[in-house]
Amino acid sequence: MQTPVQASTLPMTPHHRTLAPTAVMSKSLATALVVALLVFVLGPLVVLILWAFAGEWYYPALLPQQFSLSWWSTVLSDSHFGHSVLLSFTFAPIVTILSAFLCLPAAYAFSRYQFPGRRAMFIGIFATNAFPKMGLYIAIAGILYAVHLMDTFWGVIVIQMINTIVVMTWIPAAAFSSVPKSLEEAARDVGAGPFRTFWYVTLPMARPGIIVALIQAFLASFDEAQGTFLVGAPNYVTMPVQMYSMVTNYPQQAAAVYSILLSIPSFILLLLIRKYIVGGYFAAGFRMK
Amino acid sequence: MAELTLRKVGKGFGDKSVIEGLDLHVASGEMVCLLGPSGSGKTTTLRMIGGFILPDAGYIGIDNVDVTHAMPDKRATAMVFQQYALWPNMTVFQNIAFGLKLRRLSKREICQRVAEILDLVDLQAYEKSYPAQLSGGQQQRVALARALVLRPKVLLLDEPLSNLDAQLRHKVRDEIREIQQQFRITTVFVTHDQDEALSVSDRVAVLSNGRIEQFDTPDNLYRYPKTEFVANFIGSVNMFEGRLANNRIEGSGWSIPHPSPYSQPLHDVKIAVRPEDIELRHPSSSLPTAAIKRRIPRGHYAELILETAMGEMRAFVPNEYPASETTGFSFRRVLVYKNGQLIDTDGSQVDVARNTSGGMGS
Repeated sequence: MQTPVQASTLPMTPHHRTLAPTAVMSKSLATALVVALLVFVLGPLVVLILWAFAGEWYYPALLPQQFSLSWWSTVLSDSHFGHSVLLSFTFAPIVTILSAFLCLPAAYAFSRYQFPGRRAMFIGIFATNAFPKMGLYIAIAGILYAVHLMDTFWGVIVIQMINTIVVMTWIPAAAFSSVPKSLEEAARDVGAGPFRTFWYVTLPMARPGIIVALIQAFLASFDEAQGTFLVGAPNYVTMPVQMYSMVTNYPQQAAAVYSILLSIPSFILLLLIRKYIVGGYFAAGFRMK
Repeated sequence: MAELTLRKVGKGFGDKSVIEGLDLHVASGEMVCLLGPSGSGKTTTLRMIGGFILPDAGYIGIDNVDVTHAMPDKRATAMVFQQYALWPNMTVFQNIAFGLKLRRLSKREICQRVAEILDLVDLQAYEKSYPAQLSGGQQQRVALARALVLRPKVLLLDEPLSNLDAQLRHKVRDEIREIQQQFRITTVFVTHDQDEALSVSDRVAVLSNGRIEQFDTPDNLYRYPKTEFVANFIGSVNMFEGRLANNRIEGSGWSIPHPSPYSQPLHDVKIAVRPEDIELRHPSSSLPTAAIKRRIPRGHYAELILETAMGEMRAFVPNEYPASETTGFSFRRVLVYKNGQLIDTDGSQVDVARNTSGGMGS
């Protein structure tokens, strides 16, 4: 990483008056901050990638002494690996779909209807994110134990859905609110019933927001480790849970390889929804009144 | 061809009554305008006819079929929305065809009817365009086409011209009237623009505070405004207080001849005079006088601001009228109101029954 050099290379002679000294100062300060942020965010990623391909890497060398792919084969040939990938890709879609069925109608209700306690409930949903997760999970685990869902497939589904409720309600609610009511009325006017109005007019127009919510929910489920570990262990070990044991049982390289593997789906999905996130659909979820 | 009937329709929001005991009968093929200031209840009335708001009381019928509580998709009305409400995710063709598809028409028939209607509104070339690619006027015509293609019994227009610029507004206004005449489609049109209302409608319902003040032809509204409100709302008018006695209208410091059909003097009346009914005369002892404060050129006529014993008045005079400082004047025609109601015009008692049905606000 390079350090900012603009400040020292800028002509600061008295003859050059197009830039005021304070402007130059603030500009170079901003550049320095951006670079610092990049180092902070991307630095660990670079180190992670180096670790994943490192054979030997001892302090104080800046780069590994020896590169190797051996840890990739170790991880990929691990007997649990295939199972955990399969589990993760089973749980995430099911959780996403169930969450959509549960939350989308609620989101529509929040955006279109006035009912007592609407606002309190809408904010209350956020409470799932406000408490320390582990506390919430332990409380829910108690319930799951009572109904014999501990260490079961559906127990894991339930605990993972908790994580998706906020995005699956707030973002689509904002998307539905952005559809003008008169467009729905126009559909009713030409003869569409409530269901077809929703299907042909409201849903297509709210689609970008819903897609963002679906992918966010998918990722929330895919990356969930704590609750899944608490409820699903030892029989339902998904990729993130598996990673915990990787970190504790193997050298650093194995964990690095695993976390890169784990981040591939997130990376691809985030690329797919990039234009919507930049377009403000994500932020819109937090502007709902 | 269908007639529309509203009987004793009422609607309130919360504890606030918006429409009260509203009666309206629109004859088959007639174009009726609901005209009124904002908050008069005209849009609420239109939305109740369309089914977007359900009335609290009363009856709404189309060809004697009760639709009072029918949802919009279950009644034979079609609405052109103020903001057009075209579906942005559909092309012009898809927008117009949507209602036909819901009716499970054959593909061939859908194409044929859409083509016909696009021809009518002159948008054949825009079939595949999306609404965002069209100008305001074009979007407006798509909205009209989308409503007309369903061959509704009643066409509803909610301020359809308010988003167009002045020039386009006149053109589209005439187009709408032409199409309405061509199909003789029963039409209800909402506007706050009296010029628009008077120039396209067969009859106009003037609304104020959720009641119909008068329901009449444009000519009658102007010539015989039944209430003070209508007189003030339609066109411009000079209004002043006085009393009717001895075949004269008298006020403090003035008096003009006016044949009175009443045997008793009538106090606390209001006199309304249209600016074009003020006649400027040579000053004489038998006439009231006015000082001309200002002359405002209006194109083919001029407007004079007069200072008189009755207060400030406006008169419309021919351009060639020589501006002098003082003048005598008389009234060609006055309207006399008592308690807000028209009681007398041109010196003869108003025959309330002559004015058409359905309009009395009381």
